[in-house]
Amino acid sequence: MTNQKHIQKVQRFKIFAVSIIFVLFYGAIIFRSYQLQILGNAKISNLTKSQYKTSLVQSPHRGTIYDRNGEILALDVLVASVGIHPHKVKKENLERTITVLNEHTKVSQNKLRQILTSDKKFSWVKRRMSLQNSQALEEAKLDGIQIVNEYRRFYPNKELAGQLLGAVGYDAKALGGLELTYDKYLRSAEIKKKVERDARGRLTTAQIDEEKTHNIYLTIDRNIQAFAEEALQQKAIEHKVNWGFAIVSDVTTGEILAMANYPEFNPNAYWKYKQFYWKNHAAIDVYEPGSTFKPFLMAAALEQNIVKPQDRFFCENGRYKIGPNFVNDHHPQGWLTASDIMKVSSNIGMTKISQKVGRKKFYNFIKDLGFGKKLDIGLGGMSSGIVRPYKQWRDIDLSNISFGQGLGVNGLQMMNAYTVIANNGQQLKPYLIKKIISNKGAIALENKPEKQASLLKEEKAKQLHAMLHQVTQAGGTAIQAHVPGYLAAGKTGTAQKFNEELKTYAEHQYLSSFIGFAPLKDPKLLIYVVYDSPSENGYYGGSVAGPVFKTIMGRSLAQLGYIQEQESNENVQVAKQTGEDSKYVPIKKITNNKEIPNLKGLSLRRVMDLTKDLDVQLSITGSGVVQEQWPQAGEELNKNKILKLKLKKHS
Amino acid sequence: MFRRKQKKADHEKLVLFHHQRQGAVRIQQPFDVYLFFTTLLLVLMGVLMIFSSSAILAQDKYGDTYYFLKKEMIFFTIGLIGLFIARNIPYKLYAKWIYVFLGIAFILMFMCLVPPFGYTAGGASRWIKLGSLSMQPSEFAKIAVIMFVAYMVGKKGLKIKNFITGFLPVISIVGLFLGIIVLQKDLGSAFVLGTVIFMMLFVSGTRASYLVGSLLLASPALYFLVFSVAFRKQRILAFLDPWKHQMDYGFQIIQSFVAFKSGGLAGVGLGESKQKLFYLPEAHTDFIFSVLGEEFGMIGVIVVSSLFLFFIFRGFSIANKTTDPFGRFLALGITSLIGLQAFINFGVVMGLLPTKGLVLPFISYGGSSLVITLFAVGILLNISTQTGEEV
Repeated sequence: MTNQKHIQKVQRFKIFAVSIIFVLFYGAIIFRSYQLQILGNAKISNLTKSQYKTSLVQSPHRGTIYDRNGEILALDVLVASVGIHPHKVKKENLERTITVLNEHTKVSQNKLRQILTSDKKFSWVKRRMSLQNSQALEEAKLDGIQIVNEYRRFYPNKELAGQLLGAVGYDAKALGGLELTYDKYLRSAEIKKKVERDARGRLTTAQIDEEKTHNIYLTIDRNIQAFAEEALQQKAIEHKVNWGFAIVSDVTTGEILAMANYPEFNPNAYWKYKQFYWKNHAAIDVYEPGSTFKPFLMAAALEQNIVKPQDRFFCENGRYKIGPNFVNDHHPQGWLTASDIMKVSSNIGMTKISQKVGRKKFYNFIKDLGFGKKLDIGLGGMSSGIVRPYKQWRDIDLSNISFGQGLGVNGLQMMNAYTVIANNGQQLKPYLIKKIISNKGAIALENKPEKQASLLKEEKAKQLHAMLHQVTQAGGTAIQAHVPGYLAAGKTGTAQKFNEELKTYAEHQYLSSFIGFAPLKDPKLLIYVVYDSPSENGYYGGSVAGPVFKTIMGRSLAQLGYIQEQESNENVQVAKQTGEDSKYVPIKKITNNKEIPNLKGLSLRRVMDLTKDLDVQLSITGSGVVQEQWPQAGEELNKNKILKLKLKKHS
Repeated sequence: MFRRKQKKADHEKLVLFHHQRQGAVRIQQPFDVYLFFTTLLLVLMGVLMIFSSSAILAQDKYGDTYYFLKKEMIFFTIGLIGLFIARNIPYKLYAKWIYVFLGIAFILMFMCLVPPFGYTAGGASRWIKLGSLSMQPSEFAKIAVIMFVAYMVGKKGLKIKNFITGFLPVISIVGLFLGIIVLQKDLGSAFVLGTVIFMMLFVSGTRASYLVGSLLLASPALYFLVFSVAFRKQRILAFLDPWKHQMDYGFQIIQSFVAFKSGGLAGVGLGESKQKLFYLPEAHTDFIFSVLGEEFGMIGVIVVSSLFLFFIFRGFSIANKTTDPFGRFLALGITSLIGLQAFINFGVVMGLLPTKGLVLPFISYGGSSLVITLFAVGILLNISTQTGEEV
């Protein structure tokens, strides 16, 4: 028994020893708990924070871009992107997952297999698919699939104003154009959607911050923009140009109504276009303007009473020596009035005038017009152009600048300067953004017409208008720019291009342009058309750019509701000379032309309203109300789709 | 060699004798209420945690939030009945039936490995399927083996020091069972049982040289077992560097760390665990303690581990008070089994030990484990009523 007791004693001691071991064990657990739960470690803490709040940045939203009339130019549409967490797809579900994904996303099975067997934590399978497809996928209830609805930028008018608007990539990231310039307004603030998710990627709780975006209203008129692009492209193809642009502005307000570029760029498929196609030539390119620059010298000369329209200058029969250099005219001339110098665009004549005006005055005037200065119209990335100080001008430089060579300008500077001429000497601040309004309705920015310096007396401006009107008339350089039904004024330009490589003017590379405004009496629209390097079917500004001006101007004025000015006999004559039937006013072309309604007794304006949607051309004689029409009411249009109307004044 | 009929008969007489004597004493000795209530507290905690950690999974998988809770309540009821039955069965009767138990345990364990009955899950074949019920016979076998060892060392007393007649018979039977458990790919259970037996033999007075010797003999086998089986090797690797295997084998353990970390000192509150939202696999079974650590924080961890430690103390004190060697070793064995298994589970979920696939006694969801463990507590309680006998 003593033995037994001894054994028990020893065993009790050993049990005590075992309990000590257990105490140590459990002590270790509590210490470990302290280590894990209180001290923690950075890796775990990070994972703790990041894993539920996977900070799915909510697909940012962008505001809408409208034209001046509230037509949508760019908007966000909701699309779905499908992503996958490969490690959450069970082996046994792999094949099914691949099949279902393939069915709904059209991503190849091989690609899917590659994604699903990779050790990435997450990867996109397909972005920007339609909501219907994503819905079907959602209904398949596959593990590891994540469907995120996000916004995609959509440009409903496709190429329309493409370069101006720019493009938007993934995650609402602006890639260029106005989208980029006004990114801070358009793009919603970076919203981190506070989402808590379980390990299967399902949302448990979500908290979405309120977003704030702005909508932008441009001064652009969608219809005029379309006219400009259409006309620009047509001639660009005909003459195989390198690039071209057309700008339309309202000279009474300074608003830019259209800014078209060639070749076209469709921001809906921006990834298909090389850098060249993204370029907004109208705003960015700096070039020598050529003869379209001449009116500025003339304006300076008229304004300062140095020259009167009837003053005569000897044009040296086409060859004029200045120091070691010669100035040439395409068509040699003898004595010409100032008006005629403008009309036939004589370089020598302009040189003579520039010598009378002098460097300083000329320089100051073109500086006042905005050349050599950065022009802020609300579009980023513009250059100030190149105008050297007048003290550096040699005699030949003064001569060159008088006809628009030897200096660098951009399209908007030209528009800005011509606005002064067209608007009777009153300078206006050009602008492109009408207003920016937040989604809450607050106005963040608003532009209104803003008068600046008055640079020409109205009388002098009118003299210049008359000279420029002659350009589009018989004997002028731009009879093709004559706008049927309206009186226009303008100037051609056919500038030799400076070859940077050869450091000389290229023999057969021209910048062909036309800039002009109408109606003459009370100018409304200013249009500038420029083509770089037309290579086929002629290259003169008048014949290449002139017709584009004519088409855009005619359609735009009609669009704006400008009734054709009464035609003078002279105009009809001109039309005959140019071989065109001046009375055809192009009307918006659309559908049904089966039955022509009775138009008798209607005003021209009313007729234009009625036929606006028909694919017809109006041929009008006389003025007043419709007296006779061909074809008659109820008849079908003939092949060439001309509706002839004879108008007579109400008696 | 040890099944000598004479000796067995002698022993049976002895048991009967003790039983008769203690029959009168038993009423005077109330059972250990502390142990009982500690157990009850742990089980209730388990029920709570099972509901909290399984509700979403249950909803997801069975469309019934209470699926696991209901089942657990059934097991709890069965286990509680088992506990009271065991409390009222004089533990010395087990000595009489010890070889029957061993036989049943062996057959059941063997069935696990045979196709029509056994089935494999997670690389281990430790279940028997009988109709819709599945059970894990190793839970039962562990108790049977502990009973056997307690019986042997109790009967042999100091003779256990003899290698041939004392140590060898014990270690052979134990080795056989450990072997089968290993064949079931349940290395965790084998490790726990082996360690418990080791402790019992240590306390009994077995020569240290035998113990160390058998350890040395076992270690190459252990090494081979660990590193030859792919999933074990991965578990070990994941244990050694969980971050490197974060997306595969280390996933569980890292997610467990995250749970503890988000729990902090006071926890995120009952039902608020996010880790149970499928980040933690087996949140209601092997990794239930992580959810507890997340919902109740370090305080919860301290409370639960203190309860277990208290349970161990009470169990050991029963062993200490018991003068009957069989009762003493049985109490020691059962207590150590529960205490060690809990420790290993804690160690695993906290990244102190490699993953073993061991449940947390009382708390984890699991029928066989709960029922058998509660039954074992019943045995402990019965032993506690019979400590008063002075020899």
